[in-house]
Amino acid sequence: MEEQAQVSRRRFVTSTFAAAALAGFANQASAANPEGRPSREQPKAGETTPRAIGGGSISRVIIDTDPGIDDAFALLLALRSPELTIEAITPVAGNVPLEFTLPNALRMVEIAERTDIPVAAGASAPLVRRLVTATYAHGENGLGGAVFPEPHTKPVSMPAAEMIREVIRKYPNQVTLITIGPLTNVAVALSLDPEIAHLARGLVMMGGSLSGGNITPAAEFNIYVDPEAARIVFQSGIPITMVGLDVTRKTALTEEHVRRLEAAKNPVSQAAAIIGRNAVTRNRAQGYVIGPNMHDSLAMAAFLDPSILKFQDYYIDVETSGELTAGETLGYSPVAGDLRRRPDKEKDLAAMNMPIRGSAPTLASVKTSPVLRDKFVPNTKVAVDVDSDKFFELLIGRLSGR
Amino acid sequence: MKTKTCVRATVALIVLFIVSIASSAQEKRKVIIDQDAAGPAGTDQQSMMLLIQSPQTEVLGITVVTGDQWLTEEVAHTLRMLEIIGRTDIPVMRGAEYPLVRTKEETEAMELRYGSFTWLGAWTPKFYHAARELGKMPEGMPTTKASDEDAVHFLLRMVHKYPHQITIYAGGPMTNLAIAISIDPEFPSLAKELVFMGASLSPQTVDPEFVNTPRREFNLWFDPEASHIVLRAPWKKIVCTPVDVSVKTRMTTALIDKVKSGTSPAAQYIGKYTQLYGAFNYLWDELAAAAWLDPTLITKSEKRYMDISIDRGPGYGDTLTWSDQDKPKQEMQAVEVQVDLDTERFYKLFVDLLKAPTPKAHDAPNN
Repeated sequence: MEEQAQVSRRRFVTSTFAAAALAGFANQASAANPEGRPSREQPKAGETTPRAIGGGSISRVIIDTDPGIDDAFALLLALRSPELTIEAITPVAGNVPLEFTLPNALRMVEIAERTDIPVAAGASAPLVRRLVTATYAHGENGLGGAVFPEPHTKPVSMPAAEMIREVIRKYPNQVTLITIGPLTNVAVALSLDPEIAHLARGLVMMGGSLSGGNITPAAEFNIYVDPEAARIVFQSGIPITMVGLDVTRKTALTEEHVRRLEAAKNPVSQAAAIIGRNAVTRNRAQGYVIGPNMHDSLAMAAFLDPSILKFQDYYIDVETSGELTAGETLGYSPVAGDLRRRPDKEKDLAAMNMPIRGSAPTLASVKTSPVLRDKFVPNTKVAVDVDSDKFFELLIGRLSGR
Repeated sequence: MKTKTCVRATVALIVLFIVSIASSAQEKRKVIIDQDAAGPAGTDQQSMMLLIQSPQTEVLGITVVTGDQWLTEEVAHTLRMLEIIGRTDIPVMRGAEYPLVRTKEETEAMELRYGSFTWLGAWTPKFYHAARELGKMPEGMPTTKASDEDAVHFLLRMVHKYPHQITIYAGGPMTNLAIAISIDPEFPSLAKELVFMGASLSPQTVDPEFVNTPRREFNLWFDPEASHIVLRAPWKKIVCTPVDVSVKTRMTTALIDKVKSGTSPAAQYIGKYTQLYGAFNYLWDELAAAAWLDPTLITKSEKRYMDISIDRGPGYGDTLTWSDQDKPKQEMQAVEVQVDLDTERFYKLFVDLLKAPTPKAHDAPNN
């Protein structure tokens, strides 16, 4: 009876589904299939320098951003980094609504005189949730109240998700996504075209935390705003570098940094100085003992100079349904904390037994918790430590340089 | 006197002729078919064929989504069907290959806790194969190809080109529509209406698929987040053909035989490839299509508000509905939910349309 019902649901002739991949329908299942997808990299134990990170000759990037005070710094840093080829900037709703993040991004390319870079408007809302903004930290206009003229450049007509996909398809294995806002645009691009996960060189994100959140005790803001999008990204197979609160909390913009920016006369430095001055003053007025964290610039710096950070391999997943924990990033690692193995046992991480379980079964359920994964397969290089001085030298040096 | 009458009659005939030509050219109802187009034949293909066979419609294109089968094989079946009925002018677009958030792996873990799902579409173990492999193609391989444009961009481009004129007919999971909304929130308000087969409220049936889970319906269940996005979007009109009314229909050998008696390639295709399984064969998507072509087939509808649960428990993907008096105090879209139908007239329309010769391609190029 059950079998009958199973077949009756939708009628189609399928007594034997032959595995026939024929002309015009290329068999690329293994590349596009999230189930049992082969890992692109041989996982290595312990601290590693991510392959996806820059330094080589190929430095095409797309910057997905929600400016945002520290986004503005990150954008200006990128725009002042000659080794980067910025293929597109894709603003998204996050810190403030898209109606601010889009013009703010346009303002930054104008200030840096880089209006040749296409700015493509992204999502105005998260995938399935209502937008929560962070105007408490970024001010109503996203730049902490710092006022710049209305931009005169316009975004390109192509939507952000399509732009992301086009650029990655155009330059296979060359493009790194640098995401410093909620991951809506990238998730939409991946849903449109799952194969870009394997055609992109990697993704460096500011987002997540393995040591508690900021907008809630569990969640970091960028992931919290669109946890479903984050989950799509983490499960996509794209090689990810996660620069989260674990390290960005160790960076703080100081009075001294702002003075150096003010002293330099180039327009980028001047703009950064105005935003920085406002932000430092705001932080002080709100009673904080240190200046604002430079979350997003640190992710940008991680791409420009990975030696600023130390990384460790993790399998990261995102809680999407927790009543109190939605948006939490969970990191599994057989070589971290109490789960640490002897060095001679760390050689083959992928072979390590590391069951990832669902929650304990209820009385009505099966005897054991469902195991979602048996083996440890890292999907993310998580930044676990930072040389803050070296980071600010790069950031302030480039912004204030000639 | 006689001559006068004759002249009058001729003039009247000519006028009638001109009017009918004008109306058929101008008043074609534009529709985009968004479908999990499993094949050959079966409910997914048959519903598309009804829309194509109807002289009232202009099918702008077919956007395909993984659901009953994988995207790639569905595209192949659809292309082949269009070749057989001679309508290769209708573009077929590849859409989403996977649901937004739901994964096969997680769904299987849920089955351990909450019991097995009767129908998993492309993931049904009995039929499972990799995403880009084709199943059996008894109707032959298509020689035509899918459009270079993807489903979502076709949907967006069309509603901007023909604002407020296009009906979106959705017969499968709503992934393509949800992505279109995420990219362009104006998409729903630029469409004329959304007509879909999906949702389940309280179907009166002994079908084991619904006895214990009356609120679970595959199309909306397969991609709950997408369904949630689509049902919360500002469509101007939403019409729903739920399981409740589907189960009042039956696909029978007698009905297939009636279609088979036709000589058109469409009738022959259905005669050859439609199969019945078990005791519960419904005209799922066909009814949604037919009721849009002739709304008088529906004898009773109710206004409801509708959503899909995205809570990741046993009810993940289940249908939620409200009426005016108990709905949450927030803006929601009213859905016209079909409750009852005139089955005999529906079967007649089904047979008549599929037996008829396929209308020729629209003269003016669609796109």
